[in-house]
Amino acid sequence: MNHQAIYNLYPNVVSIDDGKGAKDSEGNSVVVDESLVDAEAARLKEEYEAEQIQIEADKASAVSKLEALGLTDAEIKALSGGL
Amino acid sequence: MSSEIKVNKITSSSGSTLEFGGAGDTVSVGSGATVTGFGGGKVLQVVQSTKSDTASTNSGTAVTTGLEASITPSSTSSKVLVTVVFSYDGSPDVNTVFQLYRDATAIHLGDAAGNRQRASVGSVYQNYSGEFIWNGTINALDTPSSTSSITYKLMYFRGNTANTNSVYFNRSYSDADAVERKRTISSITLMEIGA
Repeated sequence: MNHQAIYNLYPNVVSIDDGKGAKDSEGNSVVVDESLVDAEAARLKEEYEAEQIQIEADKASAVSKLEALGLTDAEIKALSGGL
Repeated sequence: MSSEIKVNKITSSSGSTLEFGGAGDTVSVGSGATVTGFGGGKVLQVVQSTKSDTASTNSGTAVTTGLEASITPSSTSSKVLVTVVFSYDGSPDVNTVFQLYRDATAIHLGDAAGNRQRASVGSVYQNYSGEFIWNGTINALDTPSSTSSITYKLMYFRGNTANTNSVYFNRSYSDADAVERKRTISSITLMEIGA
């Protein structure tokens, strides 16, 4: 059960339990459309993967710029904590 | 060969020691019988409930984690030792607040102090990488003064009013399908302790 997908699709949902489903602030069950949830989960997964790729690209870019400034690998590692 | 003696009281004939059985013997009490007078501190019953799937909330008021257990004390003088061991995480800045409830009442909380959240367990400013998972423990000795069924449950909510981020139970904030993430099991154990 993708919790974030459900929260994104159903703003009235305040709690989710894998065993008991989604509930609103009054404790009432909220019926979710599994196909919509699956689609939103897929979109979130793509978004997450794109973010990870961008993070790695930013790290590589930062290292290149630091190397261009004349920093050694050891200095870059010390500065960045292990880029 | 079994035999039965029906008496109302057995006392020692001399000294103060009354001995039942010897080495290798089994001295048993009939099923369902109540034994009293041994003095306080004995465990009268134990109940445990576990939750191995996940839950989450973005609620600003307490909702159940789904981890709860019920017990019916045999005496109003009994105490109930409540032990909760659980795992959780929160999305950024969510400010997690966990409270132990006896039925509809929060118990075992920190003192009231201005606007500060009263919690059994709480944390703030969770990690941003989303891979970590945190452990919480509650150990409360409650005096319910009741012989009715009592439900103890772990409740939680988002303490930060500036966002609607979520608190996650039995999982990390980031739930990508990778070995760095985890699924954990949480438990609540109730022990009735005789007075």
